[in-house]
Amino acid sequence: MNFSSSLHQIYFYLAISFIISFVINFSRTDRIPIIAVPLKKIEDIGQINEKMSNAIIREISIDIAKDLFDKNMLFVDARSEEYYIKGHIPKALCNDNLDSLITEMDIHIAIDDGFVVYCSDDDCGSSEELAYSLQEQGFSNIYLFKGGWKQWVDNNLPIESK
Amino acid sequence: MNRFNQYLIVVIRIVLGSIFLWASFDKIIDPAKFARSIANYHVLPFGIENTIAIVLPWLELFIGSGLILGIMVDGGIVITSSLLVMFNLMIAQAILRGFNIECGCGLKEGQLVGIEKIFENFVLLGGAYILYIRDKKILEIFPKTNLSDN
Repeated sequence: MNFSSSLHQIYFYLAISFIISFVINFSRTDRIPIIAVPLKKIEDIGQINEKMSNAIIREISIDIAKDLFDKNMLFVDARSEEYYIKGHIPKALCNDNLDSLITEMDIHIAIDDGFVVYCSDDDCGSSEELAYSLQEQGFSNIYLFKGGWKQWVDNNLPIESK
Repeated sequence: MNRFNQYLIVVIRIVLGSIFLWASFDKIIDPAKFARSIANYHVLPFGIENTIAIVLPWLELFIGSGLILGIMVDGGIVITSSLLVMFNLMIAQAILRGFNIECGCGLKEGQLVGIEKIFENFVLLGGAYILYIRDKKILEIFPKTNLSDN
């Protein structure tokens, strides 16, 4: 290989990156699959577990979210407090500081109790980010409501503002 | 090109390399989080974000190291520039679609996508361009360059 050619240098950088990254990923305990696996979706309220010992994050629809709201399950708002103050799902918790949020959650639920995390809409991503952060902190039974605040409001479900 | 100080070229190379090197660390440590950041842009077919989250940080690490050490700088600059253009396209489409998402750039925790990030990348692209048109290869150790030839 002639390394004075830019193209060959590019090939080399790409090849070494692919090889090293895959080897390292394969050898680490927190490896991720090469192709992402979608979150498991809950289709029926019967699949909801009150308690869960194995850590898992599952996606729920607006209908399931409404059922869980009616059953007084805890909701956690992953949006920033600025948006939360303007309007949120009634009794939902929100705190920009993760440690403070966990302290608040500990008052309401045990570590293996189910709770719902949501953010603004399907595109926001912060609910998933918060769900994984909470999972790392030991919470095991997490439901992700991807439709979020937008879908909740669009369905004329109850809201409150602070 | 002569108006550019030779050593300014080396400084730009080291700064650009350091930025890429620094940006790679968090992504290498937590590829799952980086994969979620990529997924939030909603531009890739589902699943591919993991492949990118595995490979891209290491590519950044190698080209960052290459630029700092002066190893295969020409190839490194082309990849650097391509990545910066790609990052800007990703950020621009996210802004246009109204996504209020974390950049996932690896430089600043919690930094959101925005015009300032695009501007930052354009500044880095300018640095990459200066490196690309350099006529003297100062302190580049591989491919070996004979300074007396310059």
